[in-house]
Formats: sequence, C-alpha cells, structure tokens
Amino acid sequence: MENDALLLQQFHQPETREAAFTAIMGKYQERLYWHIRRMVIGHADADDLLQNVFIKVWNHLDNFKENAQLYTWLYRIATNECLTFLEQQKKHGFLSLGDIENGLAEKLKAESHFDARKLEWQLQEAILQLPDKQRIVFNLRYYEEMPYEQMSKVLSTSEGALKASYHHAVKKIVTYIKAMSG
Amino acid sequence: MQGNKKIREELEDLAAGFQWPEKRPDFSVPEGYFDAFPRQVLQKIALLPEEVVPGAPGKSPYGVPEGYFDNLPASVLEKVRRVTPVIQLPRPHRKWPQWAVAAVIAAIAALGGLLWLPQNAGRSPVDKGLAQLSDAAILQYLDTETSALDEDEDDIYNHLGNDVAQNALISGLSDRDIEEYLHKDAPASF
Repeated sequence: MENDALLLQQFHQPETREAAFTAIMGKYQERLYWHIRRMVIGHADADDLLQNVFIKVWNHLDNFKENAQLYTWLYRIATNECLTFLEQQKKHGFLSLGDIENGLAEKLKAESHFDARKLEWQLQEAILQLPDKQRIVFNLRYYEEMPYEQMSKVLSTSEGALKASYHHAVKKIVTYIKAMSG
Repeated sequence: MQGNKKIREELEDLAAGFQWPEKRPDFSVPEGYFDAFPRQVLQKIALLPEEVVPGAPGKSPYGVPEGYFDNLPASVLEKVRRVTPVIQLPRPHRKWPQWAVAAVIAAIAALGGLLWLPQNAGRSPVDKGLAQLSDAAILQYLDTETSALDEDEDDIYNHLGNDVAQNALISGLSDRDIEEYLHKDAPASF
C-alpha cells in the first residue's frame, strides 16, 4: 500500500499523474464504495456516486492541502455526494421523505441475499429508519470504526455532537429491532 | 461488528446485553467491479471536456492560440492600467435618525435647565447673604435699626399732611375770594 504523500507528489507530476490517480482509486475505492452503498443501498446509484467522487478528486486534488489527510478528504467528498443525492431525490423526485425511506427499504429487500430473519439485515432495516446524517454517523462509527476526531473532520461537526448523534442512533436501532423481534 | 474493542465497549454501555450482528450484510456487487472501476473512471475523465476536467488524460478538444498563456499576464496588466479609476460617489446617508437623537438630547437639556433655573434665578448676592443669616440675627437687626426708616416715614406724612391742610383751606373759599386774593397779594414779578 503506497504512502499518500508519495501518491500526491506523483499526482502533481504530469508523467506520473494518471498512475498515481489509479493507485489512489485502488487504495480507497472499496472503503468509499461501501460508505456510499450503505447510504444509497442500490449498486447502480453507489457506482454513479463513486465515479463522481473520483472525478471531483481528479479535478481538485491539485488544490488539496497536504497537511490534511487524504483519507478524511475523500470521505468528506463521498459523504457530501451521498447527502446531495438523497436531497435531490427528495426535491426533484415526487418522493416524500417516507417514500425515500420506503424506496431504500425496497432496494434493501431486493438484495439477492436479503433475509429478514438475519440480524445483520434487520440492522440494515433499522438503520434506514434513521435521519440521513445520523445514518452516516452510525455507519462511520459502527462499520468503518472511525474515531470521533476523524469523523469530526469529515462531517465538520463537533465530537460531542457526533457522540450524541451516535448514542441516539444506537438507542433507536435497539428499540426498532426489539420491536420487530416482538 | 468484528473489530474495535473500544467501539464494542461503547455499544455495551449504550445498550447492555443487546446482541449486535457478528457479520456485515452480504450486499451483492457485480463480479470484477472493483478491478474495472479505476479504468472506467479514467475513461470517463478522458471523455469530459477540458474546462470541466483540467489536465484530463488524452487530448483536449479545445485549441488555444500559440503563446496565449505566455502573453496573458502582460495583456491583463495593460488592461488594468487602462481602466479609469472608479470614483465612488458618497452614499446618501439618512440623517434623520441623527437629527432625532440630537433633538431628544437638546429637549432633555432644556427641560433640565427649566427645572433648575427657578430655584437659582434672580438670587442676588444680598439675597444669598440673607439666606445664610439666622432668623434671630435678622430680628435683632430690625429691632435696633428701624429709627431711620421711621423718620423717613414721618417726613412723608408731614409733606402729605401739609398738602391736605392746604387743600382743606382752599376747599372752604369761593372762586371769587381766590381771584381777589391773587390780584391783591400776588407779587409783581409773578
């Protein structure tokens, strides 16, 4: 796994630019894909958004401040893409917030391996009941195991607010799953 | 939830006894997707116009006159020098709030003056001196120093008394007696 600083250095050189960018994509694409996929559920949407993320990265990587962490910056772009996408669906589509949640739940149930009896899928259903930003916080903490300090940089939110958000999310999820299990 | 002990402890604190799933949900991803992804993105970047994706791989569809970027700073500077300096017109200020504040301050000052002046106006140094004297001192002065005033009053009454006596004498004479008196006793020079 190549060092980010080296990759950035190579990206700034025209002759190694493309190779460095390919290496950056190779290094981060799966993590960002799953981050996006958990938010939008469908693969096609996740694929579109991930491609947009990397096109933006290509466009703006020259302006990236090297004292910041590339990993944090990439998550920030991916998170913004997800939130914009979900917001656009609410605005331009004919879908209400409830319809969006239902739409995401339908996409979840359409997954080939979906099994409502299994706890991991029940957890996914419970997560879909959360507001978008709370969903992001929960996913970053639970699945990505991201420290609050780093999450604070990704989401431009204080660590205290993120902890509170995560705690609320956990309580709601537990209540939802317990209610579903009867 | 496989990893971080700290996160598991945090979850246990928040929801004691709750069984979190041991594995992640098995979302389906097309086979070979991640292998093909970087190439797909690079192809997409190459197809986008240059102004959207600067420095995109492949040839730019747009041409730029030769030497354009070399000459750009000089031509921009020349244009900047030619630009007439912009004169900023003074913004019309609304002065009425300032005048209103000034009027209120003036009114308060005038009212204060009116309330203060009657207590202090017309107070001569004599009045101020008298005000400082005790009542006993004033009474003593009046008891001892009224003779001059009394004498003056007698003079006034004396003059007044003479006129009254003359009027009483004249009122007892007829006009004819008076005329005879005047013709007989009047001095020649009169």
